[in-house]
Amino acid sequence: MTHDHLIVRVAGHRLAVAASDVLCVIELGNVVPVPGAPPFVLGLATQRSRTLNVFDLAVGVGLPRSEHPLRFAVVLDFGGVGYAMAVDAVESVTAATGPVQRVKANLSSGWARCAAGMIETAVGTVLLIDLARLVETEMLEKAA
Amino acid sequence: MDDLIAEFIAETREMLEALERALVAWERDPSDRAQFDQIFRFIHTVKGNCGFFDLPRIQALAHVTESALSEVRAGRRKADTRLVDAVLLVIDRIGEMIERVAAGKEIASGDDSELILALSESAPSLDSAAKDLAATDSAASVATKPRRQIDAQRTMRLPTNLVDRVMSGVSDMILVRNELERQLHRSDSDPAALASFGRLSALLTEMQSAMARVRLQPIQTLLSSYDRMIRDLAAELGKQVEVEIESGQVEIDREMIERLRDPLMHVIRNAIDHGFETPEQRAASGKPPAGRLLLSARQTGNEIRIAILDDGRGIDADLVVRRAVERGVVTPELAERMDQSQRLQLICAAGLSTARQVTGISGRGVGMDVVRAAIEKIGGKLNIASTPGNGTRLMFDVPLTLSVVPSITVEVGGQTFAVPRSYVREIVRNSSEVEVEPVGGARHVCVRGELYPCLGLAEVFGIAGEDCPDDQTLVMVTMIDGSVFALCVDGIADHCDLVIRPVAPQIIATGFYVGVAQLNDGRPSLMLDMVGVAKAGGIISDKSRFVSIESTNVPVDPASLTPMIVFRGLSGVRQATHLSVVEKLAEVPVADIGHGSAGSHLVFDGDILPLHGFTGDADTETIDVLVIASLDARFAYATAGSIDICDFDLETACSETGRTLLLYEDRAIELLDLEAFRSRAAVDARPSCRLPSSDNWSQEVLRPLVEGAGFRVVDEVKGPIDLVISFESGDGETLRLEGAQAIPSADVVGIDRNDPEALTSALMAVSKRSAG
Repeated sequence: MTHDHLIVRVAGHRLAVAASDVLCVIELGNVVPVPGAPPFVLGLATQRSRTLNVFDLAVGVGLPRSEHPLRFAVVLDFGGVGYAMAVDAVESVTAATGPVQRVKANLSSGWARCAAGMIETAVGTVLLIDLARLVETEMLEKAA
Repeated sequence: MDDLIAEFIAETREMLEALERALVAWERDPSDRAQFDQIFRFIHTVKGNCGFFDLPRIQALAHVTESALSEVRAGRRKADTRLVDAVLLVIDRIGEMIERVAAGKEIASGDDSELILALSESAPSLDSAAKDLAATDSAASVATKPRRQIDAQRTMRLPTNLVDRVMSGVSDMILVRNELERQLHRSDSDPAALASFGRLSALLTEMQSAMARVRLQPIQTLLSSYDRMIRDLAAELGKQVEVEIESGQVEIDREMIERLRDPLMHVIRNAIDHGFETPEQRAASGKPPAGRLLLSARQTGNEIRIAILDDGRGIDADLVVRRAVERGVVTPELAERMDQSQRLQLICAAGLSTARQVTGISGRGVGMDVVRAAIEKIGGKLNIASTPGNGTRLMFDVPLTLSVVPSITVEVGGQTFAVPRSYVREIVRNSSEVEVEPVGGARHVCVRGELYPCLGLAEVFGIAGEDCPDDQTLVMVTMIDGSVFALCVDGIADHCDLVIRPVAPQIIATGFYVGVAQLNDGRPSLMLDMVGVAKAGGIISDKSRFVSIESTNVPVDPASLTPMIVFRGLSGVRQATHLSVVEKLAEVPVADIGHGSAGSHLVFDGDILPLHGFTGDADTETIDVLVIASLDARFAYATAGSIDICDFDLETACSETGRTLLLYEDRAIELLDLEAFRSRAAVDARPSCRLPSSDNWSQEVLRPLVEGAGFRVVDEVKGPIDLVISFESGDGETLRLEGAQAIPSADVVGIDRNDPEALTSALMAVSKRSAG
């Protein structure tokens, strides 16, 4: 059984996201800012009658906030709340050519908390990101 | 087959729920044939289904129970407590097994013989005649009693996600409708098309309100669900409780029901455990042996009031207060000033329990604080009333629904936020008339003679909003504790009912928001957490709940009115000071004002006085000054003229900004801070004088004379003293004036204390000598 992955580009890095986690990919329209929110939170957007919490994936993995507005977002549902992970670009949907491998290098904390492993794809070896874990760890840090 | 099993489980669960009520009602009145029939039907249905699905253990239990009940039905057996208990146990056991089936597990081959034994008649031969008689009695009463109609409204069960999908579908349609409406109004459309659109729009609105009702459930189901718990708990504690439920047709949001379940259970447990006395105690105090517990729900406007009323021993408010003081929850002084309901509210303070003993049921000190927090979380209020010996009444005032909140949307810096309408007292247009001078760094507004702190939402959020007060709007916000503040925004966008949805925890963590709603045009709008915003703006602190008590219970004492002089400072700001400290109002030439490195000074009546409030540039030749003498400081204060002398009630002064503000002609004016000037005041040049004693005569008669002669009275024993007044030889009648320091050899002796003229002339003589 092959697992499809979405290849996204974030601040020059190529990342893979399990396609099964993703509801859809949207083009970000108007993002309403949330005063007082941490830098990870870009704001709120709507997809029909659904409100999405727009997060900057780059900030989530420990990279600086991108300077230009992000155009696309990967939508996921976590605990009944809709999240849109803003990315620079969505490149392709591709199947992994092998099993998920353990990450051998030492990752910085931002990457380490959401990295699920490495996968071989048609576009090369890509770091697999667990978006749900990213949302969850951000949540725990806020609660602490 | 799986579908059939799922159907069977769902049906059995539903019947089980309905049955608990029937069982308790049946136990209360074993002759109630309608309840009995319902129980019998359930057991019979379960038995039949289990045979079909091959669940032998349940089937065997159901069979024995059915047999026992048939005996009762046939009048051969009496429905006693033992039988009811046994049937309840069987029903519990069936429930457990059904849950195992639902979880996809096998039912273990357990032993139900003890249950089966419990159902059998232990002593069948015993007083069978009496039993027969009872049975005949009950049969007779059944005949006369009209059969109670069992509610036969047809219901349907649906998966929640399907309901949610339909609801969000309707919301989507409403959004498209609104968009279409705007487009239609922009273009010159065909009137026929507009009429059709109007019909569609009306239908959609109707559908939306019908969908909103899908979420509603009669509150009766919630209140009745405690029957079983009450019965078990009362039996365990050896108490008798009669439950009465009054809920009419009140319906409430399903989610709200879930949120109320635990808090309600907690207060009911409390009532049974701590509220009700044992039957013996009740009999001793002349009450019926069974306690009465009333659960009622009433709808008023968009609020539901749920009352839990018991006729038990009540709450001992004095004991609560004592505990609260012991644990440092309140200070004794504050406790003194609390009224009865505030004292009772203390039972909600964390870690306070007055239970005499910790039981397995309640009284561990975690409780009412959690209950209150849960109620406040859903935007409700908790009220407590109690009379020792007569019982307790707890009231939950909760909003009708969690999801639809009547709101006002406000605009700040191009963004729209929602404020729950329940917080909004009124909307006031801001202007430079309404907004008073910012004093002590905090904004204040004056609305109809009342002074309120003002919070700029733009400043709290750090975004750019309107700067000119005339373009701003004030939302007067009433907090739960009754305090009011003004929330300053750029404008009001709309009044509307908003469907509030959860937002990411990361956004909730800011403390500013409770959720998000979608506006008519599809834009998201965050709903403000007014408590969080007020906290961030420094309007309230965590202790405000008790601080508010301090401000309310102060009686207005006419004697507390203080005469004040109101004047305009050179900066144009109106100020006030105590009339009693003002020695003189004078017009002085600007030429007499000198400037030193430490400030300005003024030559006045041959004295050099420090001059405060003078900015250094005056375009007139003379300025008005107040000469203020307060205790041991004397200084002048520059003004642009005095305005008025009037009485103020200092209790109403507002001093939360670090300065004291008074209300004068609907405007806030600042009270001159004499303390600040005193510390800066130059050393008083007047000769000092010590009085013989601090008795009334010295303070009331002698002191004015001494001060009138140009001395300043000092109380301290140490320090340089220019003149000492003492009684001669301790007779208390003749005075002795003794010069020292600057007035050597000025001794005057033998002045009669009852001769003020002689005293004055002697003092004046000494004073002159010191000046010369």
